[in-house]
Amino acid sequence: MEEQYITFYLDDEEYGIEINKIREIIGYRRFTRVPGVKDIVKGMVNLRGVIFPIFDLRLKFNLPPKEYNKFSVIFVVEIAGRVMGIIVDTTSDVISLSPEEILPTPRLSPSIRTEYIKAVAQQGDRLIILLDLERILDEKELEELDATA
Amino acid sequence: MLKLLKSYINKRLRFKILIALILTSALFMGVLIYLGVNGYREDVLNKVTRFELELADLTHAGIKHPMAIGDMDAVRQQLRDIKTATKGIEVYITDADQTVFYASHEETVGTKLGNLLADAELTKTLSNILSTGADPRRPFLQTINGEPYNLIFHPILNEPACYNCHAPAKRVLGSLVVRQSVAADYASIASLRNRYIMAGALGVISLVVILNYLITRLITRRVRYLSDKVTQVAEGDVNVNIEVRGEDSIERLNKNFNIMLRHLRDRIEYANSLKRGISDPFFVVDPDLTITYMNDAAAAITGYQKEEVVGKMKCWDVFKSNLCTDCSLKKCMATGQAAEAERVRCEITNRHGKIVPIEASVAALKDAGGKILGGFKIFHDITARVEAEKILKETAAKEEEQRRYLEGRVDNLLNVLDKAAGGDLTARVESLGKKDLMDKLADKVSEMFERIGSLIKQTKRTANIVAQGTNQISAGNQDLSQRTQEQAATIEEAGATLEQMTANVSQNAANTMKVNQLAQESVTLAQEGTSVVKETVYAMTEVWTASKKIVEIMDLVNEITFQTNLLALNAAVEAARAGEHGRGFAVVATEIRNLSKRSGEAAKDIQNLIHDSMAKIEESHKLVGQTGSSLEKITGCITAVSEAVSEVSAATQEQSRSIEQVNQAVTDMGDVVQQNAALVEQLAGASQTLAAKAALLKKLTREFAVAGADEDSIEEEPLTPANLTGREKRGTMPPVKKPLRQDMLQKAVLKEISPEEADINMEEGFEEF
Repeated sequence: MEEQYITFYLDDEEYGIEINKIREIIGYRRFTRVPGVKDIVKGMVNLRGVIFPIFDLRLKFNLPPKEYNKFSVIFVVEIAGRVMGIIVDTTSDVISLSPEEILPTPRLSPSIRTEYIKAVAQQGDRLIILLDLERILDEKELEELDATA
Repeated sequence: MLKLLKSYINKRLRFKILIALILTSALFMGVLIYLGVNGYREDVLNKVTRFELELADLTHAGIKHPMAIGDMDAVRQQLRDIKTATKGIEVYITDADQTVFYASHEETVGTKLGNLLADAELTKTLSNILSTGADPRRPFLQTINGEPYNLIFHPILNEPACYNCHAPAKRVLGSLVVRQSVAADYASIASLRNRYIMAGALGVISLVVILNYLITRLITRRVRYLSDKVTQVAEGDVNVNIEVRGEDSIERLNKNFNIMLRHLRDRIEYANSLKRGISDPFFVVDPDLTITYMNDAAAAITGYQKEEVVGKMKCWDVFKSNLCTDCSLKKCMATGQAAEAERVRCEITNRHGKIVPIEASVAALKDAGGKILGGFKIFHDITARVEAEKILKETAAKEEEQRRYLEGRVDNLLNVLDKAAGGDLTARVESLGKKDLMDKLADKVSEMFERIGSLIKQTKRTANIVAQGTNQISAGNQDLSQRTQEQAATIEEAGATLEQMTANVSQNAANTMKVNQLAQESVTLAQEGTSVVKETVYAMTEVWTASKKIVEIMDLVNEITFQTNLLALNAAVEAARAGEHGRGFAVVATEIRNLSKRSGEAAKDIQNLIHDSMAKIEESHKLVGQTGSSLEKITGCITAVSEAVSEVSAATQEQSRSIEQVNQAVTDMGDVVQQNAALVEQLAGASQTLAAKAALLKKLTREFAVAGADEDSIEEEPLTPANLTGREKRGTMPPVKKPLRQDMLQKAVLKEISPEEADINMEEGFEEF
């Protein structure tokens, strides 16, 4: 049974998220910064009346910050029943992955903690890191996000 | 003796007054005495006369009757009685022949009365009376033996009573004569006179004594007091004070004298203050040039003490001036022009032999009568001034020398500059090796000429090279044309690739066409402009700008592609959510994604091509630009050299021209921005087309929700194959003939888009989700 993933890039790495987890993909837009919250939470976005916090995945992954441009993308997702936005460098594709293309989690560099890496997929010579959105934020971060919302 | 007295009196005011008083009172007394004595005398004599006349009349009356009756004895008796009754009175009665008939003194009867009288005058008077009968009725004086007598002659006239004896024809019968001694009367008069004189003399003497006392007390003593004080003042003592005791004229005189003295003291103090107040060296001399006053400043200059000089030394001994032989002070005193001060400059030698230059003013001092009393001299030490004047003179001389030196140098420089103005740059300004400003100037001018010379040489050389270069350019233009063609080809390639884009974004095709036209126009321009290098440069700049614009457009295209991709992704998300029902829609989304991916790749290809093209253009542009700029430089140089003399002004003009050029360039840039605007408008058209496509997609999606997917609708606007190269397309494009700018400005792509299409935008598309 093939599963569909949306892929995106952080620097040169391609990441994948299950398509079902995504509510909408929007282009980068100006958001309202909220003072006094953790760096990871960049601010609030009002999308057609729905207000939700956004955070930067680069910061979460301890990657160096990068200036947002018109190709930056915000994924509107639902994590643990919360609507939130995730800023990534740029989106790429929708891919369908068969179970045999999905490889068990390899050992990665210690800078990327593996608990939110569901698996790594291989398609041709592409290597895609599949993320588990539910685990991407720990309890503390979720609390902070709640506080922000 | 008399003289001595006179002089003594002359010296005593009191005596003068006394003498005058004595004389006046004596005169007064004399007159009084004279008048008194005279009055008395007349009174006495009148009385005597009246008595005598009465006696004569009485006697005549007494004898008349006895005589008429001839009683002679009675007459004689009567006369004798008179003699006894009176004393010193004689009465004589004569006939017409003066013979005495009757007499009080009978011894005289019978004698001629004329003899008795012994006075011719009286005898004659008697004869007159006897002949005429006139009664004189006055006494006659006769002095006998020093004793005075009064005589009365009374005629005896013939009357009828007498006709008994005398014939009536006779008018005068005789005379009656009374003689009386008046010695007693005169003696009483004299005694009275003597008494008067005595009293007068006494009065005068007592008057003199009293007056003398009063004058001494009231006038002389006080006048002498004043006189003593005045004498003191006259001897030079002005510190005299006179007591004032009352208010009479002498005291007023004293008071005024005090006031006068005070004024005098004030004057003297004023003069002394003036003298003391002069701080400049100052001294006063008497007519013999002995110094009578000298102030401290003068003493300090001469080196003498004031005490050893004043009143003891002559001024030439003290000052030893070089002008002492022709002493201005002496001259001043000789001419007596006291008020006229003249300034003299000289040198003096002081006690220690030091020579001090001074400037002096002299003037004579005069008294009220114009007599020269001396002179004074004010001077001051002008050593510093003389020194300063000397320095000033030296400085002036030095400056003059410096000025002459500078003038010489400047003349030299001017000669060389004149030659340079005439075109001769070989002349050089000689440097004197003084390292001063003029040398620096000379060096700089030489250096400038050196540079200008070398510039001209270089320009000549360059001109040759340019001449050669121009040939080369005309030949090279051929090459350039070819290269421009190549550029055009590249741009055409870009255009061709843009054609591909047009398949996806129809408006891009038009742009590519324009790029193609531009390229061809550039070719035409290049072919035409072998001689006009500037036009070529301009055209190339245009091409370059257009290419840049394409790059910008490609950015937008990229963005649109990205947005399309986003839309497609969202479609995929939505399709995934729809599950089995969304499968068809997912396919559409995939197709759209593929399309956008291909658009992106195509855009990347175009960008690469354009970058390649731009690199080439830049290279060519640099070459042409160098040629152009070197030509401009050469022109500039030649202009600069031709205006070598006014190099600075030429440079300024060059600068202003350059600024104008920059302005022109800025204006051109503005034009280019306008072109950009046109291009952006085109791009807006393109994006709207893309929006229209999105709308179509939406429509399709809606349709799909009801009836399922219609894959054919994707084919509605077929894409130009991305692999079609620009080079292949180039042949079909006409060459660009006009500059891009006008071409672009004339087109308003936006207006060609229908309002319906224009209303559609991305955001609305998202709202549908």
